Amino acid sequence: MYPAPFDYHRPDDIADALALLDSHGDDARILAGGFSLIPAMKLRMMQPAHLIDIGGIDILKGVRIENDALSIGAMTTHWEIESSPLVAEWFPALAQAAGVIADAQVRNCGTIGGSLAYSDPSADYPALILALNARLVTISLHGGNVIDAMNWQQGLLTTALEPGEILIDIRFPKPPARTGSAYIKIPHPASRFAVIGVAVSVTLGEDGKARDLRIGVTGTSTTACRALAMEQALEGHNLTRDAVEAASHLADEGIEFNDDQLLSAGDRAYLCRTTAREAVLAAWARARNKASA
Amino acid sequence: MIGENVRRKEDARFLTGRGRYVEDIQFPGMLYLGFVRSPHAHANIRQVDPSAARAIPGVVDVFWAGSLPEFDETLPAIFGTASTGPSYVDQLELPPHPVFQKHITYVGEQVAVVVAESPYAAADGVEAVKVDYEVLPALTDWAQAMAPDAPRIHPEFSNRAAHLAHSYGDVDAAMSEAEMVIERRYETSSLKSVAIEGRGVAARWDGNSGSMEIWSTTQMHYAVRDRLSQVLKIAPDNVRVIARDIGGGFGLKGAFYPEDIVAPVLARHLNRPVRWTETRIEHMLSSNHSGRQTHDVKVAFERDGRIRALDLVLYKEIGAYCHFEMMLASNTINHLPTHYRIPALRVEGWGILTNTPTASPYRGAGRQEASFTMDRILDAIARETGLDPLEVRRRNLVRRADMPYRSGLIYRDGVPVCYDHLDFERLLETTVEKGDYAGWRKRQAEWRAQGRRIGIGIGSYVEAGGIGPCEGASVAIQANGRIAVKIGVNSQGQSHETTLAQICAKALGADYTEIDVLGGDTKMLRTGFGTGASRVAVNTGNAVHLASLSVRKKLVTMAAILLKCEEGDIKIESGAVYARDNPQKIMRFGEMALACSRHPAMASHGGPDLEATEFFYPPTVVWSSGVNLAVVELDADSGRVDILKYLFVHDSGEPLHPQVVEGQLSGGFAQGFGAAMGERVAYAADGQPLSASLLDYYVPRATDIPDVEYIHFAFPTPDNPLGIKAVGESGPNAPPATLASAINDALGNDIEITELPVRWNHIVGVLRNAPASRINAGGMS
Repeated sequence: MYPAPFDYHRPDDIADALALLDSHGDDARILAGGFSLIPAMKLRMMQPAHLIDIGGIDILKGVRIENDALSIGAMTTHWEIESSPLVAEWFPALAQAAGVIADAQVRNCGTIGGSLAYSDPSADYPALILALNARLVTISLHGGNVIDAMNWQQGLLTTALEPGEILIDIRFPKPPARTGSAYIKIPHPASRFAVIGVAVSVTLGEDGKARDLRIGVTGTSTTACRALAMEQALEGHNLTRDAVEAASHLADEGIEFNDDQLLSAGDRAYLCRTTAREAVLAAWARARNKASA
Repeated sequence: MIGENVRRKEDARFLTGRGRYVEDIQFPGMLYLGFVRSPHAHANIRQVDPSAARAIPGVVDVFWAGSLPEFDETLPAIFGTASTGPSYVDQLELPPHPVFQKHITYVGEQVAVVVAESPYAAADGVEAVKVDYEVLPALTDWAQAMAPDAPRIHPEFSNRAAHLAHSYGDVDAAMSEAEMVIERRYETSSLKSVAIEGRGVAARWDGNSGSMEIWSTTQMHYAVRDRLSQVLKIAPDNVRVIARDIGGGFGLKGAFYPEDIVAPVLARHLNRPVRWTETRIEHMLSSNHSGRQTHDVKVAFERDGRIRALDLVLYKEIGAYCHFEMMLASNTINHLPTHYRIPALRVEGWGILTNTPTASPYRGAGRQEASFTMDRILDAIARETGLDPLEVRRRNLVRRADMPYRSGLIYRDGVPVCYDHLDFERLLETTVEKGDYAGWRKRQAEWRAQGRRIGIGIGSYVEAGGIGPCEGASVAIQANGRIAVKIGVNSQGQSHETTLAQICAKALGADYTEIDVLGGDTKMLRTGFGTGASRVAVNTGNAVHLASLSVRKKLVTMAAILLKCEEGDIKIESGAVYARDNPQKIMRFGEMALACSRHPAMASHGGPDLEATEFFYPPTVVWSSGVNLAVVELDADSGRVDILKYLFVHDSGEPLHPQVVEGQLSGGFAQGFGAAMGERVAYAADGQPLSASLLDYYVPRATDIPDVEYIHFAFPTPDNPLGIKAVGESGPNAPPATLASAINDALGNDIEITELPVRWNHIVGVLRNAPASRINAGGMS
């Protein structure tokens, strides 16, 4: 598997990367961890004339607290996220998700920014940024943007990233006390991408009821989405198993699912309902554990 | 020595990354091949335009149909495994298979070849070749291809390429007399072997001697040599085929492919070495697959579960070309009864052309389909009669008292199938006892009440291995004491260097560490028949044994002369000969070899070397057998299958190396597990592959494989001097039947699983429609 010819650039800082991106325009692609782009190039499905490797830009790496948010640099690897004590404390769902991406080799090189920018419809992170209400920070020669997670994925393999922009940072707002999160993934038997992945964040209110329940679902068709009907049915309620079970029948409402030889759309809707039920219950259990801690 | 877990001789180079594979072969001035492959399943090539490709720096040239006369040569009609006796086939019309042609019959078929100075330039060139196609309608389903008005895949040939028939007993009478008759259709999907190393070939022409050197991933280096000598019009001895370290074969590499001709033809034409290495996508598109097989059965049986008769019509999709006659179908038929008595049988089989690559043997080669069909039939009888599936099996078992048992089938070597020196009762009852069948049935009922879905399945297999005609071995003691064992087969990971050295060490009285087993090179031994069909241990193993005994005989004769004592007083041990009553009279093997080389007495022992070559001709195949038991639990939320217990009970005769035997079984189990749980080569109606990458084609990972408990039996056999049986294809046969049975048992009577792999959507379909159990399954919160 041999890619078409390309020029390789490895800038030391963001300014150089942006200048390269600006001068090469559509002929250039940003190279992050390389675990999506390089295979696509080897298959010659993508043939960029210029690769701009941002792996040498240290400022894009790492997990840190900035103001009231957890800032994860775009070049932070899945393993760094999976193993970060900060992530484990604030967003166990995110650590869970990073830990079930592909295999150890991919997790050691693949990055959160690369994954979100590639925007595979079955990737895990898109469900997480929805459930955790993340903001995606981009930069270009003309300034930058902060993009709400709800607006990030625009269609199949398409994001809100504009030409000339680089995704540099993903910001997850600090969760209120007594907040729990969970991610449950049903992997594709061959690719191990998500057939269904559900990320949930929920806060246990003072009154013992669910607040700010967000359910992100990935793997459905072209983009991840929120299970809004189920969220609304449970918001402000005590999340007993019976209540969640009843509301889980709304988990697939308004969501379009793939339909293929592996599973019908109806099968996938069923998996969405059962997974959403278990993910909500798991997040709720974590929220209650925090309350009793 | 035999039967011990000695340290494997292969391990040092494999574990330290010093294996030598085709892609490691680097000759000065080497060129690289890239193939332009058809994106259409059925098409005529109107025109090939190589001009843009030829303009790319590094591209040397482009060739396609008609470029060279050798490209009109055809692949051998039947490759490697032609039947030597009746295989039930009464009709066989094989379309010729030219190396390059203008009529394309599957996606991925070679259209043109680009030769370049680097693999990168070759790939650039491939992309730049422009091909104009006239697209024709494709057929990917046997039922469509068999239709009387179906378009022809090859204009001169019927899509119904082959037919077979066989019967014994009075099937019609049994069908009309029996208390119950059922009909079923069992489907088994096509599989791809997906070895870690793909195919590859490197070729170097020597104009000085007029000879060709080939490095190949083939399992059949002699058959490759013989066909290439015909294409190149040079003597077979002027073609040297080396198949050294190979990263897995599994039957796919036992076939012959167009690239095997293209590389040497171009190496001679351009007078430069060339190499081609398959990519994974090429492997998925162009390499052979096992071919989907459909089994329409009609079974007559009594209310007590006893089978009276079986009528089978088998449909085999053989792809766009047929190189294996009806071998796969006849293997299925000959392994179909497994451990059970079928008093009357009628079979009919069709080999049907489709617009896909050729179907060829994949480890097991029809046996997996046989076990699946037979065990599904037994489970269906249990379902219809209300009997426990175990009881149905007990009532139909071929018992020790019935042996030697001649079923009425005829193996493809022409010899009637005969079960002897086997003990199916013991295998089954051991499985039931060690697998705690009764205990699991009890737990199944208890847990069911809690909403847990447990299922228990039993599957059985037989494996006819060691088919002839023969294999040879040449054993020689060298002047430094090392012993060369030259063999006519090669290894794709089977540990020949270890197990065959064990045989030699024991028969010759040699030190195991002094023995080098040398194979995979047509210059080692003049004749061999290839690695496949579980035949090396039986054929080559016994040849090594016989050749070692012959050398031993020479040693004894010469030692008596050299040590001045009676032959009866000579002892051989650990690489030395000595006189029984005088340990001072001792000579190491190396000293013996030196002393013999100029000794006139060797004139009557075949020449100066302590060497012997022997061939072993097995009278027919030898039968191995086993029973598997699985206990599974289904996750009600996802349909995931968890294996709670897996037991593999088997008889493979006397083990040469117990760890190697268990390695064969556990690798085979993983293969069968994949076939049960998701492996499936699928094509859309227009011939486009739906499983062209490992993103779509399931291959189990190591972490998917459950713990398997093995129970080893070694029922003695007089079938060959070593008393050994085959094991290479024992592993994969029963797991699909066993797992399908267990999953079906867990799902209950709402569904009858009749298809491999077991489909996730079928499991989820049952779970979706059983909401009560789903709520219960969640347990208490």
